[in-house]
Amino acid sequence: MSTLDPAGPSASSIAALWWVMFWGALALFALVIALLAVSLLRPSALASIKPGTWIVGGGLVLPVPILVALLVAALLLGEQLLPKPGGAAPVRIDAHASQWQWRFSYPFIPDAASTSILHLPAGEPVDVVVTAEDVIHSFWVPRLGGKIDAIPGHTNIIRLQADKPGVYRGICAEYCGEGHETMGFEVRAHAPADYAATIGGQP
Amino acid sequence: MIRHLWPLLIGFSLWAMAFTALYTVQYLGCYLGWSPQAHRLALVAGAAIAIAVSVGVLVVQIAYVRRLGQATTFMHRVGIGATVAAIAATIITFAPIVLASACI
Amino acid sequence: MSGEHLSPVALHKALTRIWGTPPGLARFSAVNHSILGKRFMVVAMVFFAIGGVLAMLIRAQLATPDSAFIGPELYNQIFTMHGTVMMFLFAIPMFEGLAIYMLPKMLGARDLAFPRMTAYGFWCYLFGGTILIVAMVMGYAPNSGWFMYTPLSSGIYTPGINADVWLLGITFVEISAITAAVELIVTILKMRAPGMSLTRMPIFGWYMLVTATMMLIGFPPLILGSILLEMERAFDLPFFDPTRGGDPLLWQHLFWLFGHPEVYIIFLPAAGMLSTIIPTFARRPLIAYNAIIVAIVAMAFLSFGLWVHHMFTVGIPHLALGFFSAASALVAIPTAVQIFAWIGTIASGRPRLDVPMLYVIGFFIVFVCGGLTGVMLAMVPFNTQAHDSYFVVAHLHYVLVGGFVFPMLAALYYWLPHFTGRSSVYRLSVPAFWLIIIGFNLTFFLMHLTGLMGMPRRISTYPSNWGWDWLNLLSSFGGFIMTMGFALVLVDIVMQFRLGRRGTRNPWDAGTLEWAMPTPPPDYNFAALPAVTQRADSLDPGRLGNNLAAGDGYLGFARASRQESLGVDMMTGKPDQVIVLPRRTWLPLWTALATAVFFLGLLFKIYWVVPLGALAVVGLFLVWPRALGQRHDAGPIDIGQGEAVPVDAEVEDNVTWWASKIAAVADATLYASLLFGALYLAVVAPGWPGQSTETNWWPALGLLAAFGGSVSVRLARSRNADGTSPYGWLLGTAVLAALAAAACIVGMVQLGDATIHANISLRFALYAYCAIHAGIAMLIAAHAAWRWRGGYVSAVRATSLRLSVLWTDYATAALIPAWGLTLLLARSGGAS
Repeated sequence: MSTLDPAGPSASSIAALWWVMFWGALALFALVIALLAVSLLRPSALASIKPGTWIVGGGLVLPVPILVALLVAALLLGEQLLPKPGGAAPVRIDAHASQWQWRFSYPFIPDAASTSILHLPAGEPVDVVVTAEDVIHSFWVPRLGGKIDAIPGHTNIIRLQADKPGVYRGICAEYCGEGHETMGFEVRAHAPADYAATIGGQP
Repeated sequence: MIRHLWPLLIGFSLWAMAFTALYTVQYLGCYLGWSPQAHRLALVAGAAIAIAVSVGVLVVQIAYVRRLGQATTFMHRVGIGATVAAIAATIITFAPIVLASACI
Repeated sequence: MSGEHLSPVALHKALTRIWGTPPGLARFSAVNHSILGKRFMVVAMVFFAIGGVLAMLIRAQLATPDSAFIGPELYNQIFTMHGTVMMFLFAIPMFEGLAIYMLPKMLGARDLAFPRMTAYGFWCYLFGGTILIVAMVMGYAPNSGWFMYTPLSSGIYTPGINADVWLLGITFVEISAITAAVELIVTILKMRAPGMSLTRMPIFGWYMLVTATMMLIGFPPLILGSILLEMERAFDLPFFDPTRGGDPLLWQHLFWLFGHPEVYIIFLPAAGMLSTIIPTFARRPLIAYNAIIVAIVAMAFLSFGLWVHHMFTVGIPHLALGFFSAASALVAIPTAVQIFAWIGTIASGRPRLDVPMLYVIGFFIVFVCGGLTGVMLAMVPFNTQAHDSYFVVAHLHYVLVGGFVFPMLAALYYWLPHFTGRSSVYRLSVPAFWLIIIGFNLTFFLMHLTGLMGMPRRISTYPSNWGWDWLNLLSSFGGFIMTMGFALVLVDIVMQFRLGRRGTRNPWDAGTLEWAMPTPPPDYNFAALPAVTQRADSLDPGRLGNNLAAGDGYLGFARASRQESLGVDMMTGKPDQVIVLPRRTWLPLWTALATAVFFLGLLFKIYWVVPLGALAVVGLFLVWPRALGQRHDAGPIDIGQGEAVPVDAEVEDNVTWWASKIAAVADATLYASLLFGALYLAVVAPGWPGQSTETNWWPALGLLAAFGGSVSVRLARSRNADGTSPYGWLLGTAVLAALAAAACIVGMVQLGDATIHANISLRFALYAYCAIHAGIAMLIAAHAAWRWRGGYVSAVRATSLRLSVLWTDYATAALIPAWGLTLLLARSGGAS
């Protein structure tokens, strides 16, 4: 269930981004609080610093490079995660949300029935096409990647990949009424060889 | 009377206008199905105009303060700071134009 | 009158006779800013307690997995009400109350510019908040989340009265935010002490000026969104229904266009208090005054460019997300500037610790942490994981509690001696602080981890196998520790009122004007208004206070039972008018009660009551000006110090005129939000262009009539300036405006069934807006004619006429885009 225990490339790279930001934030927090502590306890130690230095140093020189670097990294990462067309077209699975359940269907396999469990082929990217019947829901499988909202009248796509076969949990992340917390779902990633049989074989 | 506050407000007002305009161009480009190259060109041009105009405003503000010499008011000096900050904000806010996908 | 010198005691008695509010029932007619400011704060604290109890219920429910303490139905009401109460009924009114109480004192004025509006705002806040709380007690609390996302909050999925309670109750409360914003801006710009140029204004004045301006522009999108959603719920006009040309995302845009600036609207006043408190305890002036002003202006603008970071997962293209992501990260820079200015102030001063400083330290620890997670959340990929998880719950509490509650507690301890006139007894203050900071961090720090471990927000229970159990249990435990801390603070405050020693003036040795008066403050604040010759953050209130009490300053006398304060030039602080303020009256209470009738009629769907309520409100408002004004031109009058200036009625640049222009800005923002909504739906929403209709020519006729009104009112004004009668032209203006309103109404009828498609309902809303504004123009023109007949208008006293020009022009200007959109929408409709 944890985003810190990633099981796919998207969740892994976001977890890596988190850890970088976490250590960076920790260092910055320590710096600010240390400066505050020294200024309160030993003001003479910092008294010679001029007002301009505080503003330019703390307000500009310190945060600007960090923020710019972080923005560039996050933007590049975000580009990688996008469901871009082109290349080997990934499998497209429809996820339709309603109060309070998910239905998954597999249009690329003729006659495949829709399921309440999301079946994925392991080790390859999948585009999940998310739609909603009634109110806004949100599709989230924390170990595989970020979330995308299911909004009535809109179609959203998220690209996910489960590296290994296994069972993962998905949840509805947008408050959708009384049954909000019951709207979890199971995600099963299958070895590619078994995948088609699983889908086709569903009742 | 509010004109006295303009030195302080002009830089970021331009930023806000550019923000609105570029967000609209981004949206309309996708809606009308412009070619990706034309779309990006329009966005880059828009951002360049925004930066150029605010730099122009800064130059005017600095020239004004120079000309006034001793007579400059607090508002003019603070206004230059605000415009510089706004130019930096303009550059950083619109930097994603050079690499982010416009329509997905 | 001004010639005779009274002893300080006699002067005090004379001024108290004029400014005082007698005890008993008459307190309900109070318009005094000290009384109303305290009322705002006390009521806000009551709501804070209610919100806190709701939070405790949430934590009790979530303490253990599979809890059956409260079911999802009740839980949904509770978390909705917790957020709603804390944001709308606690945070905003709390700082409004403090600003209402403090600003005139800091700026050196005797009251705010519109005392009756303060009172009206207070009653609207109280009544609106009461509607919400009563509904909750009856079991009909809103249950769609404090963000009210539609379609969940629409008539189909929330059929009961619950969502209407939110939409109408909150809109009722927002009236007080708009009135407060207008009068704070006017007061800050126009009602400072003589000599207090903008450059010399205490930094808190700058913070509040920026905050109030943000409120003026930030709240209208929410008010518009609430009106549209209520129209959809009550009359089935589709604005957000995706099956009929609406779009749920429009609500999200309007809500967050308000909702994000809102966070900074809450933070900036708190930062202003910190910028006031820290220098006092560092015993040196704040460093980098200019840089801080640039920083808060930057923050104000940037905060309007990052609302979409609440919507990173709704499927907006990555480039647009990039804009908002960058703006969200950028806002950290002005924040950092302020943080380091405060640290630098402490470092270069001679800091001493006291209870307010304890909370300032708490602020640094908590808020810096919240700021850092804020930068993390600004990063799109990380946001897609953390969004709507407990990580965000942790972040927002770090920012709001750190950025508002801790500074508010510091401010409370700092200004408590001002409210009570007593010094603090600190036996409980320090343990209370430790309970709060330890409890807070225990509750919310762990939630970062809970969220990263995949726990989404707003679930009422969770199974026990996902590793969330111990985290939630500890969070609940911490929550109860924090509650004990707040309870101790309350006891501590009560103790200070009862046991504190009668203190000396200015116990902290502060340098701002609010300490240059006896505490608790007299009804008139200053027996004489000070002349300010330096930055008003580093004055000597002790010496100044004695001189002022002796009447040594401006207006140091009681004149003709009039409540007088000074108006100054916005930039230089040179006195340019005597502002005659209205005295206490029951009108604000009656008007607010009539407003309540209007809202309750809508709420209970007794629609015949609604127009009656509206008429009563309009009628009462038209009576308000009767208490003011004069029938002759008096010319400059003595203000002391050998200076004389005219009364406000006789100058162009008076507070009424300023307030009207500022109110027009808020109104125009609301209209711009409506126009944005129309264009947004036409371009973005599914199912367009929908039903085709014929071009409707009635609004064009309305535009012609309104334009005629604009011409006619100008003729009235120029005749008045020549000293001849404007009466006929004013009546002509009123008739033309009435015709314009009628044309808009006919246009609305001609649209036919507006429930079919957003294409039609949008035009309906546009024409309704124009009809209302043409109606306002008519009323103001007629009112100006009536005032002229009464002798209150002359070539010099022409404010009524100028207001008439302003609002007639506004109605005309509103009709132009309405007509433009009519052509556009009709064309897009015709294409189908």
